Amino acid sequence: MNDGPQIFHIADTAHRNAFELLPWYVNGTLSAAETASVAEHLKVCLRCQHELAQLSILNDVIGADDGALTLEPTMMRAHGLIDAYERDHGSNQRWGIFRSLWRRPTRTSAVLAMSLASVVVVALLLLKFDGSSNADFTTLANATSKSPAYELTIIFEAQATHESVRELLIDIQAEIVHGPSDEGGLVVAVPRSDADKVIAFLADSPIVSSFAVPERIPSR
Amino acid sequence: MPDNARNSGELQALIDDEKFLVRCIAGGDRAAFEKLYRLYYRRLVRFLSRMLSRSHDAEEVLNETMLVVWSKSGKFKATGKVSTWIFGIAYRQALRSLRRSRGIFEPITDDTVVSESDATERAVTHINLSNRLEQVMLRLSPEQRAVIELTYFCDYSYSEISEILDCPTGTVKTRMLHARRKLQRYLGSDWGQH
Ligand SMILES: [Zn+2]
Repeated sequence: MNDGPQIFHIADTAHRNAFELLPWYVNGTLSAAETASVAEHLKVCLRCQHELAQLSILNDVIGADDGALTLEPTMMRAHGLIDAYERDHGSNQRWGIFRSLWRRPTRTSAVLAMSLASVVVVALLLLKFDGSSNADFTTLANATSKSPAYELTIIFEAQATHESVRELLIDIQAEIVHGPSDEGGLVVAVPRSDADKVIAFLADSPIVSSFAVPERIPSR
Repeated sequence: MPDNARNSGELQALIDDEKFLVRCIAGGDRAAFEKLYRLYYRRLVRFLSRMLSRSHDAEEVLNETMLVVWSKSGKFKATGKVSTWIFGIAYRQALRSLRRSRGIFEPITDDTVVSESDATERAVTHINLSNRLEQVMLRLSPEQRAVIELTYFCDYSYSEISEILDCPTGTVKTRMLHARRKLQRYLGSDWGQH
């Protein structure tokens, strides 16, 4: 290390800031202002100059390509994993009928203006094919085998988008029993063991207008 | 200052393209999945190889990562960046894999690290520095390894890294400082002077 008298003291703010940012100065991702400030400091700080030299070598060594890899067989195994996943969770392909909606270049007024009825219909059709889990809730796979279902009716706010409804249903691990009704109500089943958590979740949700529990809340 | 400037128009087109691919994947489109897989394969294998010890199969964790991409693509937020989303998943999958096989992952012993007093090592070349680095990286915590790799191999900014690791930017900078100190300690303070 160079430790001559012209080196900035470690407590110097300019030095500390520049020293800290050097790795990203090297990879070129700092903002223009940060880059200018580091460059300015480098003119007067030997310690940072030395550090920059080291980090540049590190950048070259780490950034070097590792050579041949075997993409195709690895990707075939990925397809195998997806096949197994789809067998367990239902086919993602069934989303296909909604692709025209997803791909529409508007992200947009058309989608946002969809009626609540279509929101819920989309949610109804899509929900079953997503196996996402939420750590706070029992997974659907466990739920069907271990916990009897608890049914409740959810009415969504008019501004709820199909995406937000779908996410909510995934979050609470709900399966749609029937609906939507004329009023936009959706009867869903959740694992009985999760009922209290689901009710608390729905009460906090900005897209839920109201919900009804048809039977007493089970105690946990 | 290296010339890493990206053409902003090209970058935006790439980001839009990747978001489009994720939307298609949410629709069950395997061709889109393959395209995204090819786009990320090399970067992810490299990142995961560094994150995991040699006894781990980086490609196996890569496929676990891509399975999550497949199954969660419908939950991807259009406001986010696809690459930080995918690398965030890969990072968490790597940590999970390390936890699963905690017994297998053993830090290397001191005598496997080349002494800085060894005169022959002072004339370090990129090749043997690369070999030493591979060993020394195992001495860093997984979080520190992630910051090093994401910075130097993946060229991410510190704010992107904070998104991927889901931690404040200050934590990213601190992890980087600690990693740099460790690298200097184990590689020898003179490795930059050749
Ligand atoms: Zn300085």
